[in-house]
Amino acid sequence: MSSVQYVLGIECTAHTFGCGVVSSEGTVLSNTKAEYVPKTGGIHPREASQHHAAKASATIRDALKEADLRLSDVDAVAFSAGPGLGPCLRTGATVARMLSLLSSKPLVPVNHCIAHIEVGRMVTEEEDPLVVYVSGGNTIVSAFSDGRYRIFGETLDIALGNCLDSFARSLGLGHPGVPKLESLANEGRSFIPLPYVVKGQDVSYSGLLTMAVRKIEESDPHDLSLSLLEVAYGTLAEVTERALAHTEKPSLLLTGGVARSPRLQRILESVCQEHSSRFYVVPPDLAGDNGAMIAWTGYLALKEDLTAPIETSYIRPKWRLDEVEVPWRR
Amino acid sequence: MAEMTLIKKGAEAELYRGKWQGFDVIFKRRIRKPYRNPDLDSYIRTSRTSLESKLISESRRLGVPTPIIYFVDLDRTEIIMSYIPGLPLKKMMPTMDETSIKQFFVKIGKMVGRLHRGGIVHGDLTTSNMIVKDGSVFFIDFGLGEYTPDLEARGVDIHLMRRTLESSHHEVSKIAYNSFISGYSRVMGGETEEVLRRVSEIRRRGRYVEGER
Amino acid sequence: MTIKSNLKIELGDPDLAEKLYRAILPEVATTKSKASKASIRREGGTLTIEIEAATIAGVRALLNSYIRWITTSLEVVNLKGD
Repeated sequence: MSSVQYVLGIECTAHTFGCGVVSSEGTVLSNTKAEYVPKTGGIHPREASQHHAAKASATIRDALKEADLRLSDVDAVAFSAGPGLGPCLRTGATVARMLSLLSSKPLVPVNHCIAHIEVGRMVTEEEDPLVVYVSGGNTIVSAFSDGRYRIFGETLDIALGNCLDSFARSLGLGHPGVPKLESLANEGRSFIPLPYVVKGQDVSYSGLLTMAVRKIEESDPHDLSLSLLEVAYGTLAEVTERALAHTEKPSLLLTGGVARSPRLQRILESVCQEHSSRFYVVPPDLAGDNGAMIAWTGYLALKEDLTAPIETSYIRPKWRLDEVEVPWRR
Repeated sequence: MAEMTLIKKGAEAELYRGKWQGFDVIFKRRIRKPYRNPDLDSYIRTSRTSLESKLISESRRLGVPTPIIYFVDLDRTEIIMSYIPGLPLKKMMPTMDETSIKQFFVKIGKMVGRLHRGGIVHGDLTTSNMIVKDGSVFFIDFGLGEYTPDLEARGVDIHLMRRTLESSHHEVSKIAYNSFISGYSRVMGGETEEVLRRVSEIRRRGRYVEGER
Repeated sequence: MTIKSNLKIELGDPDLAEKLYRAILPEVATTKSKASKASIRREGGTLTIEIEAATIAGVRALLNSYIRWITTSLEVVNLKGD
């Protein structure tokens, strides 16, 4: 018997509270979200969790309505158990447990990073790509090998999105920072030297950010934005190219919030051309944090019976990508 | 012009094998990256070519087997060096038994210790950058190396070695890493502990690690 | 110094109280720290949450978290009928 199953996914690790409903056939039935935007500075975990708690039920209701399903129609409830900010994770986990108890359907904890990868594989139907996952909290170059997603490169300090957002704030650009930074950079002309740091297969952005911020006073903002992006994306392109050469994967998948950057897409596409690899980008609505990716990964895990008893469905704020067994892939 | 065969198109350089003045050599040519700003690109290629050639020669003097540098052409961002007729450790590891893995990694640990003692970090310690020939290990590709006595740089060097073992050789990563550290500490002595503390710190820093494994 | 606060929620519905209790319990186990702790128990349709902390700010922060989880969970209950 093969009937279609539906999984509801809750994403709640950082800025976004998201709810998505996905079918076992890989169709996204709905994907609603509410985003917390800090009034000043970076993310305040407690404020973010207050925002998410306030928006949770409406966001879930909209997702069910859009999917034209009742809570009792879903076959499982998945949630992002980590990695992420503790206060946000707790809110998401509590809501997910409640949904699971109300519907008497299994609860499936999902690793947020894995979800970014799996939703990309779902939409592109690419079996075994090298993955570049870039967001406000993560910068990871990963590939599947022997049961797990292994980390081939990552940041040694802050994430790419964090570096760009912080710089955009220092320039006084509003939210969202990266697109505004990119349009400034499009009018940049001359390159201002900034620290270009590649360590083996890893990148480092904190020295770059410090230096770029220090040069704001004395520099043309267009040139400085251009130079920051050139160096930040250039180092990422270099470690990506190294990983591509090392792993010999046939394709590259770009995922995560920063995947929406057209400039980064162009650069990585050019890297792929040099190595005769196929290049894929996750579409914008599935690139940033969202509930659909949690739902889909939840479905993959559900098939392997990777459900969690309510009593021990703890959050895992520091849950690393390469700790997760991925039995749905061989 | 000598006959050259492209043997590897790496991430930042093309490697050709051929004859030069009668020697069996590798031409390592750093190629222009179309996606990189031209000023940045030319700066990176020139400075890395120059630094790499110096680090390779200096490492030999420290007793770490590396290719012999014959010629450096900064205009073409090219290094001509001796060809090492061996196999990358990455390819050999799957065929090696536990005893020889231990022996090799104690040796590699000592070599890295000698580099660090001599004020050099390799910057890209992967098993693809180690060539095995007649039981000796040659280090190649110093393109990301540095002259530095900094604890941070040493820590990153060892962190990268460990991560390569975990991502590419996870079945033997613990044995290999422990042997590596035992070799390293034989050269570095009392300084080892401080470096290892930094390695754990780098592993945890700003990233998502569940405990310390 | 130890400051204690008790939060008593009379839901009147033992089944709902049990669900809420189970949804929150894993957080009780993992929010324990040197500076504060909490416990939760259910009697019939009533939930009682006891919070202890070394400072008033600590009690307030924890109390706020529990109230938020309970409020959100109760809002979600309305989705069941939809």
